[in-house]
Amino acid sequence: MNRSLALVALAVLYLVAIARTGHADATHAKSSSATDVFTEHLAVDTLPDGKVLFAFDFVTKRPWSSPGSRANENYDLFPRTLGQVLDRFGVEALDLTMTQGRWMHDAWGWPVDGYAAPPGFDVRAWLRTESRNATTLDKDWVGLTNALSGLFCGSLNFLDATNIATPALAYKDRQVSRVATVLRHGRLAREAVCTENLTPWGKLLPCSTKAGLAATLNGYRLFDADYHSIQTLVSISCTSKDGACTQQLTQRVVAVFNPLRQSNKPDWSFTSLMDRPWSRPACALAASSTLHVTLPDLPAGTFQLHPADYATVVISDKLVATFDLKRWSNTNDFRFEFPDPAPLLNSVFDHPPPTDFSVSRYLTDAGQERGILAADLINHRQVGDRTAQYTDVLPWFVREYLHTVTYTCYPLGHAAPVDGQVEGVWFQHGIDRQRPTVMEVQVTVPASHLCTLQVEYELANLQYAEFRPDAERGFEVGSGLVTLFLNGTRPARLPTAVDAKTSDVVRIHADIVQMQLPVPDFSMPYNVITFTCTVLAFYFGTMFSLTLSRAVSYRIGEKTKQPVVVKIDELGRHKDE
Amino acid sequence: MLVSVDNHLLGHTRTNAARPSRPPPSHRRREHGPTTTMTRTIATILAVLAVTLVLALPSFASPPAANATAADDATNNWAVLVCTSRYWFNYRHVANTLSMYRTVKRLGIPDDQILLLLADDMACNPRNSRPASVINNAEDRLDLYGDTVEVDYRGYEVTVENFMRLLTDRMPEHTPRSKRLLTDEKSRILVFMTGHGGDEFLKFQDKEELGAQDLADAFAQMWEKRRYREVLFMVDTCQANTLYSRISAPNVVAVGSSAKDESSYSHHMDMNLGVSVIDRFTYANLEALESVHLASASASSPGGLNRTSSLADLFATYDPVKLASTPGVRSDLSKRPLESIPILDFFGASLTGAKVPRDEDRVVLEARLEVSPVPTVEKVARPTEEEVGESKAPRPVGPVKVGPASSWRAYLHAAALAGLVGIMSFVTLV
Repeated sequence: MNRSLALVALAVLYLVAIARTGHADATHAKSSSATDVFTEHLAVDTLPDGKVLFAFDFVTKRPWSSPGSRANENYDLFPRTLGQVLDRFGVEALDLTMTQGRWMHDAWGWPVDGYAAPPGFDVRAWLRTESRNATTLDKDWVGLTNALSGLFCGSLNFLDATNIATPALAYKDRQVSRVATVLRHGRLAREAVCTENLTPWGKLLPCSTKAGLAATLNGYRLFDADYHSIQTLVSISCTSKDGACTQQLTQRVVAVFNPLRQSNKPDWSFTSLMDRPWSRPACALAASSTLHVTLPDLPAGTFQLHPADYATVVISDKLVATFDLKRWSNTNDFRFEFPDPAPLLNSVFDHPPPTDFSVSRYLTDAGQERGILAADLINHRQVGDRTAQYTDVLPWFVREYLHTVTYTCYPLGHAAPVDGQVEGVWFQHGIDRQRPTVMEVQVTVPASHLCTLQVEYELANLQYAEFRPDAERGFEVGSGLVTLFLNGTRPARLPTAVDAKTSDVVRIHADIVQMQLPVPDFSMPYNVITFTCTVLAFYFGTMFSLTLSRAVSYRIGEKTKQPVVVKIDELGRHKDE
Repeated sequence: MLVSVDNHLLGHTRTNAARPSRPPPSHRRREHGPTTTMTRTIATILAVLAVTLVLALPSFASPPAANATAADDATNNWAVLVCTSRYWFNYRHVANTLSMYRTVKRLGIPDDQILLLLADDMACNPRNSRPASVINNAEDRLDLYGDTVEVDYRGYEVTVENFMRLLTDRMPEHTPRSKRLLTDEKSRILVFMTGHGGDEFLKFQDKEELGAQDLADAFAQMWEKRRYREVLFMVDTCQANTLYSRISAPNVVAVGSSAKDESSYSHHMDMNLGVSVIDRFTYANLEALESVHLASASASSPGGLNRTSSLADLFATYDPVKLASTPGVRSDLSKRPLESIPILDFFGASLTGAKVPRDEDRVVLEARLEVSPVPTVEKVARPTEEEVGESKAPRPVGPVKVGPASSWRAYLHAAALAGLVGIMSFVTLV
C-alpha cells in the first residue's frame, strides 16, 4: 500500500516537473523568435555658417508585450538597467536630454525634430494612467526621477511637484494614442553636462563605447563643441495589423563643431574635429552601421569629399552621400577639402537667414520685486501667417498675473502697433511651494510682423533656507517653448534627417532668463541668536542675582560711625545708639 | 522569592477563600527562624544584582572585530570622497578629490564602491580652458577626469544632510543604489574630505557646516549598525586635526593635514588656468602613492612606497616643512598598529589577511539537478476599485483654458451690487 502510494506520488511529481519545464521552454521559445535589433548611424552636415553638425543615432528596438507581462523581462541588446526602470514605473515614453549650448536657429536653420533641445537637463515622461491615481503617479514620478538620477549621474531628483508641469498644448503631437497617458515635464536649466553623464549613457549601448561608432566619441572634443546634446529617447509603437509592439530606444549625440578652431582653413576631417581615429573595431552586434554626409550647396569643384567613391541619394531635397560602414575598406577617415574656399566663406557671410521665424525671450522693466517677461515672435515671411503656441513654466516664486497678458504686433520696420490675434490662453496659476505657474498661449503671427507677448510678474520672498548656496546668482527661469505648425511650408535648408520622415512641427527653445531675487543677509540668524542670548544673559543674570541676594538696609550709627543693619520692623524708627 | 515573602508577611492561612491563586506556600520556610528575613533580603539584593548583570552583559560584549586577527578578514573596500567647495577658485579641492578618486580606482576599488561627491563642476566649467579635464599638476598635464568617471552627488546635492544620511544609510525611499553606501560589518572605508574648514568644523558650499561632533556621531552610528570594520578618515582642510578630535567609535584611523590654529596651503598654481591646482597635503599623499603599483612589489621610485607598505610608512613621508603645517594622526581607536595596516587595505581593493581556503577545507557540494519552479508573477498592489472609483474623474492637471468672460455673470454681479447699494442708501436715508 505504501509503495503504491509512493509510486503514485513520484509519478505526480514527475509530471509536474515536466509540465513546469515545458512551460519554461515554451516561454523561452516564444521570446527568442523575435530578437532585438541595434543600428547605428552618423549624419554629417555643413551648416550655413560653416560649422559642422554631427548627429550620432544609436537605435535599439525590441519586441514588447503588454505592461507587466513576463515576456518583457527578457533583455538582449536593450539595456536592462533602463528597461526595468521604465517597466517598474509604468513609463510609456521617455525623453531625456542633456544639453549645453543653444541651437542657433538664425544661423543654422530649422533642426530635425529633436536635434534642438533646451540647455540643461530636460525630462519628459509619459506615464500610463491606467489604474493609477494622482497619488500613485506622484510616487512613481519620484521613483522614476531618482532612478534616472542614479543612472545618468544628474540631479534629476530635484524635479518634484514644485517644478514639473503637465502642459495642455505642448508636445501634443508626441502624445501616444495606444493607452491613456499623462505627460510630466521637468527641466533643470542650470545642470552641467560633462563626462560623468556620457559615461553611463555609453554603457547602455550594446557595444558600450568600445566598438563601433560610439568608440569615436571623445569627451574632450564633444564638451568643447558649440552645441552638444546627449539624448535618451524611449517610445513604444505598435503596428495595427497584428498588435505586435516594439519598444525603441534612441540614443543620440548631436554636436556642432567649428573647423576654424582647429586650423585656419575650412578643411576638416573626422579626426581633426573629434580627435579620435575613424577606424575603430566594428560593433558586431550592430545590424547596420551607416554614414550620411550631406553635400554642401556649393558649386561643383569648390569642395571635395573623401573617399570619393560614394553613392548619393536625395533626402529632403538635398544631395546626401551614403556610406555603409560595415563595408568601409578605406583605412583613412572621411574628410572634406575645399580647394576653393571662397564660395563657402561667401555663403557664410552673405547667406540670408535660413529660417523665417525667430523667437527672442527677455525680461524688461525688471527689478527685484516685479518685472515683465516678454517674448518676441518674428515672422519674416512676406506672405503667410504663422500659428505659434508659446509655453512657459515659471517657478512658484514668479507670480504671473493673467490679467496683464498683452499681445501686440508691429509691422516689421514700423513702430505703430496693431492688436494681435490671440486664439486662446491656457493658464495654471502657481501655488506657493506646491506647483509652478504654467501659461500657454496660442497666437497668430501675421506675415512680416513682430509680435510681442508680455506678462507682468511679481517675485515672492523666499525663506532663508530656500536659497541655493550661490544665492546671489539668482534662478534660471528656463522655459519658453515655441511650437510652430508649418503646414507643409518649410524652407529648403534643413540638416539631414535620419529618416526621410519630416514632421510638420518645429520646436524652438527660447532663451533662458535669469531672475535675481532679493537675497537676505545670511548672517542674520547668527546675529539674532547672539543678540538675543546677550540680552537674555543680562536679564537672567540680573534677575538671578536679585532673587538670590537679599536687600538689607542699614544706617550709620551716629556715635559708632559703623553701619548698623536695620531690621525691617524697625524701619522708620530711629534708635538711639 | 518575593511571593514567599508576601506570604510570610500576610500570615497565610489556608482558610482565606479570597486569596488569589498563588502557589501554596512552603511551610518549611516558617521553620527557619528569625534570621530568615535578613538572609531573604540579602538574597533578594543579590538576585537583583545578578539579573542586572546578566541583562547588561551583552552591552559589554564587543563585536567580534575586537581582536586584531579578526580585523583582517574584511571582504570589501569602499571609498567616500567628498569635495565640499564651490566656485572656480576652489578648483584645487575638486582636484584633490579627483586625485584620490583616480588613485583608488587605479589600485582596484570599482566605481560601484566609490561614492564621489563634488560640490561644483570644474571640468566642464565655462572658465576651464581644458574642457572635460581636471589637472593636479601644471607640468604633468595628467587628466584626472578621464573617460569613465561617475560622480554620484554633484552640485547642490552635496550637503551636510546628504553626507550624514549617506554615512548612516538613512536614505529616503527610492534612493538609487549608486548613491548609497552599502557597506557591512566586513567593509573597510576610506573617507576623504577636503574643502575649507576651521576649528572643529568643515564648511559645505559656503552655506552650512559639518561639526566634529556630528561626524563623531555618524561614525558611532555606523559602528552600532555594523556598517564598517575599519575606517581611514583623511581630511585636508585648515585646522583639519580638530575635525577628528571627537571621534569615539572604534577601529578608526584619522589623519589631518594641519593642527589647530594652522592653515593648510595649496601647492602650486597653473598659469593657464589661473588657479591653484592641488593642495600640499594631498600632493604629498599622491607623491607617495603614485609609486605604488599592484603589478610590482618594488617601488617605482627608489625609497618610495610599494604595494606592501603600511600606513605608518605613508604617514612617515609627510614633511611638516614642505607642508607648511603639522599633519596629525590619530590611531588610538584602531585595534591594529599602523605598522601592520597595509595601505592597500584602504587605498586599494586588496584583501590582505583574507584566508585562502585550502583544498582540505573546501566543502564539495553534491551536484543536484534542481528544477527551479517558475516564479509566479506577483500582482503589483493596485489601488482597489473604491479608491480608483473615487478618482475616476480627476480634476484637470495642468493649465486650463481661460474662457471668455460670460456676460450674464457680469450682469448678475452688477445687478447684485446695484441692489446692495440701493438697500444701503435706502437704509441710510430713511
